[in-house]
Amino acid sequence: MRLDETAQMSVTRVVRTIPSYLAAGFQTDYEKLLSRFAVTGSVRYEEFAKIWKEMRFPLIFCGRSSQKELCLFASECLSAAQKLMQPLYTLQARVGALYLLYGLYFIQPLDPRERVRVTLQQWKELIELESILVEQQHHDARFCLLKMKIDEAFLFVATTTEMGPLSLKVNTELDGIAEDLKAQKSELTELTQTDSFEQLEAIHNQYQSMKRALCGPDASAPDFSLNVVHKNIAAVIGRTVAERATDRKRTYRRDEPLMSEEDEVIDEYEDERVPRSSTADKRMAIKKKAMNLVPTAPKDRRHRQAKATSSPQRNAKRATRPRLKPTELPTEEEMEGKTTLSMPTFHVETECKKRGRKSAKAKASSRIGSPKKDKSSVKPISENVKSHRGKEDASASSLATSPTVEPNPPKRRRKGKQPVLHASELLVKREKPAKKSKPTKKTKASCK
Amino acid sequence: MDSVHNVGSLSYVSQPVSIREFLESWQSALADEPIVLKRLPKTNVKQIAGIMNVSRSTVQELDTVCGIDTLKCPGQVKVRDDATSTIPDDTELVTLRLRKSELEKRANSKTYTHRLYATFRNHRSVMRTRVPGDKLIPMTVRDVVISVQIYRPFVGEQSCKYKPLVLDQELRVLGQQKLTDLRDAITCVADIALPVEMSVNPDMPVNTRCKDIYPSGFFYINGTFFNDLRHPEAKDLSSVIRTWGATRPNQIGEMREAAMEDTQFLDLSLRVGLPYLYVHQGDCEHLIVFTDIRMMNIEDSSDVSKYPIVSSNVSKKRTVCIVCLLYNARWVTYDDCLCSQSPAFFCDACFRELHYDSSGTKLGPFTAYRFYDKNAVLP
Ligand SMILES: [Zn+2]
Ligand SMILES: [Zn+2]
Repeated sequence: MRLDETAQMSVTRVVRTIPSYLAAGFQTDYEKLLSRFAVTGSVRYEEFAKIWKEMRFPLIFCGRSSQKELCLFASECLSAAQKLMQPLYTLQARVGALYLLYGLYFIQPLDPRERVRVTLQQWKELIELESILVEQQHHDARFCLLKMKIDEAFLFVATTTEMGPLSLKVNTELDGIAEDLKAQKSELTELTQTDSFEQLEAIHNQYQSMKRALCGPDASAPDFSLNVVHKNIAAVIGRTVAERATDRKRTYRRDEPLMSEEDEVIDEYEDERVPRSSTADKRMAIKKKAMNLVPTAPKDRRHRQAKATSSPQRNAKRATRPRLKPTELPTEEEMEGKTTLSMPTFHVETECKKRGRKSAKAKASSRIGSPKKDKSSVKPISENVKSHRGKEDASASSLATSPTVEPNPPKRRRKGKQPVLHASELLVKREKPAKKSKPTKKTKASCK
Repeated sequence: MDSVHNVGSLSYVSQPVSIREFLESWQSALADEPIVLKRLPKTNVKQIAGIMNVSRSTVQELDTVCGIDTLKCPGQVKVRDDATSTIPDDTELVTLRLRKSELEKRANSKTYTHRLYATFRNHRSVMRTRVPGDKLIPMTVRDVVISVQIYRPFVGEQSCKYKPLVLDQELRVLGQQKLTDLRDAITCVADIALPVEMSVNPDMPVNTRCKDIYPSGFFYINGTFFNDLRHPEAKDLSSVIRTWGATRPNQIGEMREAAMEDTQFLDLSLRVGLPYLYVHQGDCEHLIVFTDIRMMNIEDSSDVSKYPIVSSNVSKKRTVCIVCLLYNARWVTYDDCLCSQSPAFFCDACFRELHYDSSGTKLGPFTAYRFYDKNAVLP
């Protein structure tokens, strides 16, 4: 049946990807512009225009010789700016994004101008923003929005981009990847840069001394049979991570001439205002500021969302913690009882925990019947180790995950979707050749 | 049918969009937008003051503080500026520095540049279809503009799985238009071909075109065959497919039939980006893709009679005569005793020189048809 075949063919086709990201570097630029605007703490247009001119932002459209390319670039820029107007940011950040959109729209060297694509949802958010501007009498921002409306700058669309089997896939991730690699900023390296290794080291020492204590008051080393973890676990993980990062870098470098360039560029413009840190960190800093230190809970948990006014300190503490997704945030109730959060619950914990956390916890508490097990503080671990003297093998995993031991853990292990080699996995891998017997397996399984 | 292709997993396909719902929801959302109704002159201070509910002097002040002039800076690119490829050296913008290296890369590698431009080829550019005479119509009564891509048909019986998808035509239609309006705007040489074998007398006068003899055609959209039955001799080309589909109700799903001439685009529910099908002349099968659904903008012509507007005709290489390699092909021969190829293409002069003697007699067995090169004969 040819009809079928024809359609089948189209379906198996891959969308074309542009070999290089056209708006490369734009994100860095607008983030710089907006962070400088955020520093002023003002919503006045003059402040924005000052920075805009200082940076000579209109030059951004230079060097695009073909009109099609210019169109693509303009639409990329506009949609990036528009995304920053989402209501999850503070008013100051949204107004900054509005000015950016206004500037980009009117300065683009195209006739007719490339329009800003808005879906119904985005339009409603924009109208909401406008009503806030009216209410708070921000005439300059309102005026800019009005100017755009009068020019019919917005295209009311059904989908955020045009779609089709031949549509160009603009790989927006490319920009980020290049930058990340430049600073070797994978999740792995982030792991090493946070203090999680020190924490791991500390726990490990504690664990070792505990094992020593089990052997008697004056034993110099723990019993041989308790050697399930490498003696210098932190160092070993650190080394493996570094090796892998180098490998990764080498792999990506091959066809990415952009990076070295960007590397250099970033270094050059790095100034005293922003301390030397990765772009990702800077991005986070901007977002943090923009989101007013309120971590956004997923929609279904909005009712539990922390309020900026209620306890700013605690929220600030939370927001400054890196790489913590809203979904992983401890709930208010969980937070209440905790005074110290320095334990490695979400530093060392990685995917295995994310996946199995809830079910494992639930099962564990029902089985062992100790509500304390949920609290990730130092004490429960030691208790746990003591109470399971015969099962020391499991304590290795309890270091990395919640301090519970499951007699018959679910043997689910998803392979393939593991972009990051995480600490607990490394731990298991290291142990594997030494002990092929049951305990290791168990460790692994309870980990998963 | 969606499940056969696992449509949900395709990154370039949207959820179904009901055009009428889309139109109505936007019309109600824009009902409170009085300002978008009129094209205000740049300095219409009075009206802006009215909308913002401030004094005129305030608006004038705002215009000096926030006006478009405040954004400008020396050296910026202007519209239709030829010097767009020059990049100033003294800039702190990372984009420009990366751009510079990108341009160097292009200058150094032709392969790279070629590959890059090939990907742009099908991308649309900004386009103004509105002409000064078009009247401005209020937001709330504007129509939906749907962009459609028509692909080149797949020829022959061989598997089309590995054939490249070639864009042929891009059109814009309005929601209120009928599917037949789109059909009439699709140009295909199969419709204008002469259905007569002409090797005996190449000068035979032929007035009928394929379209006159075979007027049937259908669109296949979301499980429905829209048959064009305007012509009294038009047949339901889809019936054989529906019969086939009926034997496989679990795999294919329900297949419906409707009249193309009775269906507006507003009645449809489309998946943006999903290839649908247009079949005419029995087996000339074009994929059609609705790439964009949006409300009419100020740059769009408000003149309904102009639609469907052809937004681009993708040019391709012409077919040249295999003898002189110079002129456009006018004839196509099959099973030609004088030529090793079948089909073979000839310009008019070469065709006659090669195949006929001075008295106009055929010099051997072959079949010949008039050939229409899409780029040569269709707009
Ligand atoms: Zn055709
Ligand atoms: Zn010739």
